[in-house]
Amino acid sequence: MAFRFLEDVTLADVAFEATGKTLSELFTSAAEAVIETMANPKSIKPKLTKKITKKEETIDKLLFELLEEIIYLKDKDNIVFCDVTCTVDEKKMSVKAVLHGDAIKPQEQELHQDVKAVTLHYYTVEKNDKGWRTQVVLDI
Amino acid sequence: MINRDAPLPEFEKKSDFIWDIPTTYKKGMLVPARIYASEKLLKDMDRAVFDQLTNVACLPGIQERALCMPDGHSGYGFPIGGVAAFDMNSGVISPGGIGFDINCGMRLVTTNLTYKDVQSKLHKLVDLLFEQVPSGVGGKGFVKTDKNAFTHVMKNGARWCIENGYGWDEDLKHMEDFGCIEHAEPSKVSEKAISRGFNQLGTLGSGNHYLEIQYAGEIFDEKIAKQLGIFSKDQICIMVHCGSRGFGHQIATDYLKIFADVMKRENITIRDPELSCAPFTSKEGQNYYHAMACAANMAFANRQVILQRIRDCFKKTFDKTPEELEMNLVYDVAHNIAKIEEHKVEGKKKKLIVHRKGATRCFGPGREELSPLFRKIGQPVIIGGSMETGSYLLLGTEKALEETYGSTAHGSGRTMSRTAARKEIRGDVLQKEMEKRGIYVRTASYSGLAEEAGFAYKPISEVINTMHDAGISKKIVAFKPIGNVKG
Repeated sequence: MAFRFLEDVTLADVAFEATGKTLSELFTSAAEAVIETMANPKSIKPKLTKKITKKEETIDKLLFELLEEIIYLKDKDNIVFCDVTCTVDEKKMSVKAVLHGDAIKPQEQELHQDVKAVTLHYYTVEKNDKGWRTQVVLDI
Repeated sequence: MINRDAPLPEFEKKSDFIWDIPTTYKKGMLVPARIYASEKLLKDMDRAVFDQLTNVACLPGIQERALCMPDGHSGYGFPIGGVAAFDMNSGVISPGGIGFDINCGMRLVTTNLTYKDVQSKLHKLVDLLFEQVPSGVGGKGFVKTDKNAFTHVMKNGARWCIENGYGWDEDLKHMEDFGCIEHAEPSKVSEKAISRGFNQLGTLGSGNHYLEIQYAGEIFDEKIAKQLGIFSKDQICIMVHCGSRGFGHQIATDYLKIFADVMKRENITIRDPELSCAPFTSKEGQNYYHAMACAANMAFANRQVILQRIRDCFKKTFDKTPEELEMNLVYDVAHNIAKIEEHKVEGKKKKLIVHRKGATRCFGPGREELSPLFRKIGQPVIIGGSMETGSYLLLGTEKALEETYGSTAHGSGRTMSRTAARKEIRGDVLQKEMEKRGIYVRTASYSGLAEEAGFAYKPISEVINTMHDAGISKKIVAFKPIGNVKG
């Protein structure tokens, strides 16, 4: 887990920073932050599998699209997730993500917040000497 | 970044409650920015509010001034509490000036019960409401619609609910725009938005959304309060706060992306990517306006079906019909929306596209948009406070029409981030503390409950008094919470 929630970025929403030595690690960390914003992954059983494939023009758009799709699936399929693995192909500017989760069951699961959207507010994806870093604000 | 220590801008003080930032503050400002706040609220505002509001003042076609209400706090694009009116021809429409939760709003419902009547049955009532009104992450609504029926919801809003047995004919007269915004065009809504939201009719959501049992704590204007259905202190009322759910969120998301390309084409530069916008008259601007109206109508419908479910729960708990319990809708307001309205600009009447993001319409007497029930007294305004501190019923004023395009605050306004609030208190501890103080809360999320603690918000009385003393809205009743279903 290479993400942390930030308390001094936004008032009404949730901000996090995620890092990774590689782009695949970065995307996995950021996706983990999104799924943990919605529910404690330890309380979710891996009963369902969802696959997401995205292709974009830039890395920041690619990550944005992936995170948006996770939020979309939460509403469309009424699902929360316990784990995610992302594989990024930088040359093709594409990502494949595999997520496990379960239908939303409030009596059994520790649910957190209903994320509305990924925002462009203070959104950054950057490469540094340790690898990659992103900062994301989710609308709550 | 949240910052309350940086120096304040050099305001031009216009009165004890009005502070202007002149156009010289930032290159590109077309109009000044104006903040309604007491000196205390102003000093405590996070400084990003001023940056965001002055960014709004740079948008093409903005009229007179960019406004921020006293509950203002930083959002993305517009500050929450932001109001801006744009010329219909040269101006823009911006999802960032409306919010992802299109037509997030409030409704207030009366009963003829008193605090004493409810006290012994409060746990049973709140437990039943918690069970019957889905709240929290995702969640399927209790109203089953197919995509065809959902098209009617998009077009007809709360009217669809009444036609399908979810409410009383009379309810429609007690809603902003009678529960249905014109110009809704389902063809402008993506399949993705429909598939995301059509199962969520009849859900509260989470964040700061709630369903609250309250009692009238203080009545400031007995005559008007009676006209609105509040007859005595201790009278039990119900307040609901929710919006258009995943459906509205997806429409905003879709059009923010579409508008990014429109801005390149139209050569529009903005200071914040969340201010993504399109000329109102452009094809894309019009498409968003029509799609936004669909989401607004879904939100009216969502609050209406929830009202009917609340009536059922009261019937079951008190063994009386909702009619016998006089469970009448006082009013329903939208506080995240853009609307075409006529206002005076430099003394002349003009049609404008008015954006309100975390701000409530508060038309004074005489406006023809109001139901005849309210045309003489002005529009009821419902302002929800934190779940610990209470809420208010106010009325719109003529002065609001003169100064703020008939707009006022929408809540208390946050003062602490969600992450910081979670560090201060655990949700289960807060729940027990509130119960000791006579407020019984059921929640879908203990971490979410902690994030909504009273200390995370500005003092609501200060916000309300600012708007009352500034003459923008008039205090009618203050309510105190006793039971809460927290999303």
